[in-house]
Amino acid sequence: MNTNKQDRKLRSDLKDAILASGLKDGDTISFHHAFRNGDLLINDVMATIAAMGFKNLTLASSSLTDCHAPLVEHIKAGVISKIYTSGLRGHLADEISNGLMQNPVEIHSHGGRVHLIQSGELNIDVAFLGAPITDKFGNANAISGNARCGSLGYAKVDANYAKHTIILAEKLVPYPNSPASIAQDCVDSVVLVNQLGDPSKIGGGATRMTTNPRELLIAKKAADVIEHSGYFYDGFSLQTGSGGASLAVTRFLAPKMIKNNITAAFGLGGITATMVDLHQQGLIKKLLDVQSFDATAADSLARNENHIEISANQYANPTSKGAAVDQLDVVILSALEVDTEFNVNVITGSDGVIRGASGGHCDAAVGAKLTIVVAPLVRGRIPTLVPKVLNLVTRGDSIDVLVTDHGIAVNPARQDIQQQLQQNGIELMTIEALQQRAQLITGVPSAIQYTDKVVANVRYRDGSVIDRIYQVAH
Amino acid sequence: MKIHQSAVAGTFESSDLFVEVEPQPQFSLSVTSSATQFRDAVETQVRNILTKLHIENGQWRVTDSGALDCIIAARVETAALRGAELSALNWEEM
Repeated sequence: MNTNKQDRKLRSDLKDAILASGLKDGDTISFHHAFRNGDLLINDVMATIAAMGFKNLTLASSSLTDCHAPLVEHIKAGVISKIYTSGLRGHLADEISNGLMQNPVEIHSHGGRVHLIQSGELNIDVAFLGAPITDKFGNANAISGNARCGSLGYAKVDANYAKHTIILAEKLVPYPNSPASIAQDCVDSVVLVNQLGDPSKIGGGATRMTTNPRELLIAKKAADVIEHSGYFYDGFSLQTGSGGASLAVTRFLAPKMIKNNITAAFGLGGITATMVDLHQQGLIKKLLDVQSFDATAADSLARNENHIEISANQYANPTSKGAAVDQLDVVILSALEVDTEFNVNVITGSDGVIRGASGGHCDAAVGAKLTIVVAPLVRGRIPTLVPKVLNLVTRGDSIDVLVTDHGIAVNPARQDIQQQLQQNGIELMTIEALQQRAQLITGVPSAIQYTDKVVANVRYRDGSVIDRIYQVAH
Repeated sequence: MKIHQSAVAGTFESSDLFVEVEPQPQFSLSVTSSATQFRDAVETQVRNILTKLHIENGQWRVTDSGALDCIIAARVETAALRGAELSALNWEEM
């Protein structure tokens, strides 16, 4: 009779868990980004790993953001030599754009990350998965507790594919914990930590509800486009990307849904408070949630039975047996830059420096029947619509409509949508005319100077390299 | 137009331009911009405006936060008037 069997996964601290994982130099470690800019876990784990003397690791986080600036020191010290991520922002992004790393960063989409894992390129040795509540056997979720972040859609994939999975939790509850976003048969170790994330920063940043009148104008126009696109029917489906105008579209769509007696079959993606509000009004029947963007969404996941957690594989992987993006009717996405071929850049700013995330952008754009990009025509003196994007994330052939504060342009490949909109009195411009208008306001910028060093490869959802980001020269 | 006294115009807000000028016998100009790819365009426009105003002295420092041409003109002209202790531009020359 083995009396220790029931507690066999419990580790006394993070260091103990790392030792038990068999981690060695050159290995690949992974994290999820559901704590968003409130994440404390990655920095804590990396500090412990660095102190234990590990070197030459590949860091594969589903994304990275401003709060991960301390990683710069671990890269300089040789602890991290390669990074896979959806996004980079802030100091870390600046340093990498300035040539910090020997090896280029691999920028992937959310669906593309799962593809890279399944195809064997991204081989996770140890996954460090933060989940606020767990039992001692590793049944874990994130729907309660201080650091609740709701869906663990990205972590589910890591738990399935990593050779060794460690659950880091804030609270231990009696076995069996349910619902189990991460299930016991995927988990090797369980360790308690003081704090996984800063609750005030977990829901925030890119998902704020805008009061900016220009963004509201763009959102209103986008809602008009959806209404008259031919895809606004009872049982349609909807995804809104992060970004002020994109999130606000839902607000303008709700009265149109009520007026026309239309309900959506499902809302997909990063789920926000606005989406939850429509769900609770009965306007969206089900929510498919790969990542909860705020505490309201996290609480809804805990409470509403038709608010359903899905994995990144079920969300967006192009080679999965079923990605929800393929069932999507309408998606509204943001952009840092769009060009006259409708190509979209969401990874680098107008100065060529990395400051964004690929996210689910290309996944949803390809999957949806109607893909709308919303963006202000110019931001200050920076034109959003340019002759050619500095870096390519989503190809123009998957973008159908661009909605700006100065006008709306339809991709010439979508004559059907163009006719629908024109018949319903929506005024359209050519994308070339819109671009000329932007140039009239801002003038022509000087070309960005680059060195010949590649700092990041932009990977398309099928794993192919769709663009390279070069080091900016000064 | 001659710069007699220290003057400022504008703000550091996004899409605005901040102009400072100190009286000195020679002319000097430095321009920084948060929109780096438009820094040269900003400097060219500032020089054109100062030339039109016949300004040949002063230590000029311009901090651009992505201002459009009309804003740049307004801020530079205002700083020049304040530095020259004048109350109106000679519009016919502009």
